Amino acid sequence: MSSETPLAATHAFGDEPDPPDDVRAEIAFHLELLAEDHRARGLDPEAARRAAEADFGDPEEIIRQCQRFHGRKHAMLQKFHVAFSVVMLIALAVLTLQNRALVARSEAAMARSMDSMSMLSELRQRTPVDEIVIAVGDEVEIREAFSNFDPVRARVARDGKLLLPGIGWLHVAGLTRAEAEKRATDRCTEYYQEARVFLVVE
Amino acid sequence: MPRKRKKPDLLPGTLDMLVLKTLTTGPLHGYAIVRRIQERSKDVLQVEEGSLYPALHRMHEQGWIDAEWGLSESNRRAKYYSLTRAGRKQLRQEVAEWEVLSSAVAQVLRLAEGAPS
Repeated sequence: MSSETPLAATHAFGDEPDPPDDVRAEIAFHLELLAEDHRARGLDPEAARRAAEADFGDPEEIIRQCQRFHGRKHAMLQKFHVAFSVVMLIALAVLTLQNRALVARSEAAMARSMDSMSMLSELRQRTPVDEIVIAVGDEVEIREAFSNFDPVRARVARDGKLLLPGIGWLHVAGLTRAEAEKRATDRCTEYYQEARVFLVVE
Repeated sequence: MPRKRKKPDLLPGTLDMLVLKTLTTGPLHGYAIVRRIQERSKDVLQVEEGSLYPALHRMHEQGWIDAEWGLSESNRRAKYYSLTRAGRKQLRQEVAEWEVLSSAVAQVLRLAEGAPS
């Protein structure tokens, strides 16, 4: 095999070359084999090289024709990439805006809720103790003057009832403290003559 | 100096079909494709290298063939082309069209021979 390689000087067989060098390398390889054919027929290396180039035609023109197709695919891929990126950015922007709107609505609802609670708390503080209206969730301290039970704390259940130790459930939601206390005392007198119940709404 | 060999032109539109058919035997580089076509046609068909490489790159863009760099028989880097699924489908189509065309030509030639004087 001759050490001279026609038109191979521009390409070094290393990493994957870029498209124009890719075609050039391909053609260089073909020309090497063509030259080997001619050398096998008895030509000297230089004559074999020239004969191979004559057989092959203008390599630069061939490279230009091949690159037309490379550019087309690359341009299409680029357009697709740009379009895809734009769509993803728009989608991200829409999702971000939706998320922000959702967070803002949640924060507003929480603020309204907290306002309501603070208003209720302020209202209760101004209300005379007997007139405080008991609501679901209120914590109530129950003291029974007639029993051996220690004072206990209980919460008004969802159904508006309060569990009185030793007595049972009593509906208190919607009643004022005084009304609830009287109702509890009346219930207790069913069982104990000298019953008295004290309710402290906390 | 040896005489430059004469290369009869391929019929227009047949290069793709011949290349795709040649690749059904397995991956080949450009030089091997040219030689295989020449051998199989007993030197009747000789592919112009100037036509081959643009055709290979075009068919690669169209997805009919894949291209991959590898090592040749002589341990040099070469670009090998192989047939894809789409390429096989394209080949079937082109062969079918060729058969219709060649059959039509043959019929005309037979008609010309058998025509009454």
